[in-house]
Amino acid sequence: MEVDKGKGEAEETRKVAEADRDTVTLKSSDGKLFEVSKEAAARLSTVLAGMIAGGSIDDNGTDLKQIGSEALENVVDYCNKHANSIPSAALISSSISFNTAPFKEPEEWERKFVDRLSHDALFDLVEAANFLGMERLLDVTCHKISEMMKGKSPDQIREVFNIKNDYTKEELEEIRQELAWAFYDD
Amino acid sequence: MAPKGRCRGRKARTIPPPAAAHPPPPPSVEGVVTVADLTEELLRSILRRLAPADLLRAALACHHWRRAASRVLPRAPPLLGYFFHPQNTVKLPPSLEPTDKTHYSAVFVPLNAASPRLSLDLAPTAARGLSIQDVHLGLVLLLHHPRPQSLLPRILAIDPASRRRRAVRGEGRRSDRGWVMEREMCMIKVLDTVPRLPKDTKWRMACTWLSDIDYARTGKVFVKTWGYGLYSFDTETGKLECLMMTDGKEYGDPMYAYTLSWPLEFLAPRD
Repeated sequence: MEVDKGKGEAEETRKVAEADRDTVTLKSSDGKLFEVSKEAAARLSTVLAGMIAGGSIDDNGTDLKQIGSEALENVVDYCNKHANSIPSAALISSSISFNTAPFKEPEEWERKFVDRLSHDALFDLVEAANFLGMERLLDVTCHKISEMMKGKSPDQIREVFNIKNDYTKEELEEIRQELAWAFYDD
Repeated sequence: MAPKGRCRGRKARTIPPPAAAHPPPPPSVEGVVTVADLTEELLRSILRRLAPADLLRAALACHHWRRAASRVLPRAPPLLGYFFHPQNTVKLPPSLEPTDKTHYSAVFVPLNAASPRLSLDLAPTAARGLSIQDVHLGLVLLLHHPRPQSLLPRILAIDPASRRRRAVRGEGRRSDRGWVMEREMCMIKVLDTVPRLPKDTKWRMACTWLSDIDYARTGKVFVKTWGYGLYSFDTETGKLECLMMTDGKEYGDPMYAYTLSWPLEFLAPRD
């Protein structure tokens, strides 16, 4: 995905060409450049759509200082894959969650896309999706993280996510009075 | 109801990064994002996807998660499953042979994989010889079976979620769990999908009847039959399910929906 910009290219020609280009160039916090389809970027990210509409896209690479190159590569990868996939019924239909809002189930390729990520890459990606206002990618990544919590005891959840238990013994004892079952791994 | 979080993108654009109401957790080593670094807003949109039982377990991980979880709790008391007394299979009609009416201790069927396996057996024989009278506010109320006639009944109240019990004296009176569901459905078509039922319409009407509505307001109704077992019918999805136990016994009637006592003290907003 990394793009080597032709240095000999004249500034004028480039400016003229920019309007007609069907890709945008994004620059990660560590200075790497990525190219992504303008149509997909505008459709999947409210932030990029706003920047494209507002003309604040820099042809030399739009600075995204909050996003590292690994996360940005995944974002761009997701946009490209999304552009190539045919939306199926899963995108339109929604399953009713126990809690409140209905969530769209991830599609097969989206599942595979997040399954191959390491924990760190996944958390980087969820933040990048949030920053760029990519609702669909945020849905998919949040879904994946919630899957990692399912059916686990509090101890197991702490282990998976490397969380420090900051409940005191007294607090836990009090909660146990109310919610004993939640402590068991059954 | 929990906020829907539809404005995520917009928020992130105007206030990067979204300021949490609480001091952000300390940054982790080498700038790697971990779950501890996620803003409460993001954590909430993750927790919101969990079934209530999983959500409550996650809330026990740490205080940061408890705060996030307390803001995405379901409004209604979460349904964890059903208590009932199993019964022996009723002989198929037209057999008039008396069916074995043995009284079995109540069992619990969890709603789904996230639900805990609750039990009334807090002590080895605690629930033996007892019969469920009611399930209300997270408590299961039991009476001796058969009920002694002489004295005021001694009611045993068991809270299977906290695994506590206490005895109360007094008159057992059922709570008013009635509710109205207005929906027209062609039950003939629904029952047509059950292969075992008699094909003859009159005969079938005689041995199938709507016995109960799910008190937990899931939109399910229970269909009892003479000799063909108990069925649940989901009026939302149209799914009909035969409720059979693995040991060949039948699900009993009534089915007592068990919901947690709600809201929970430990998830009450404190700040």
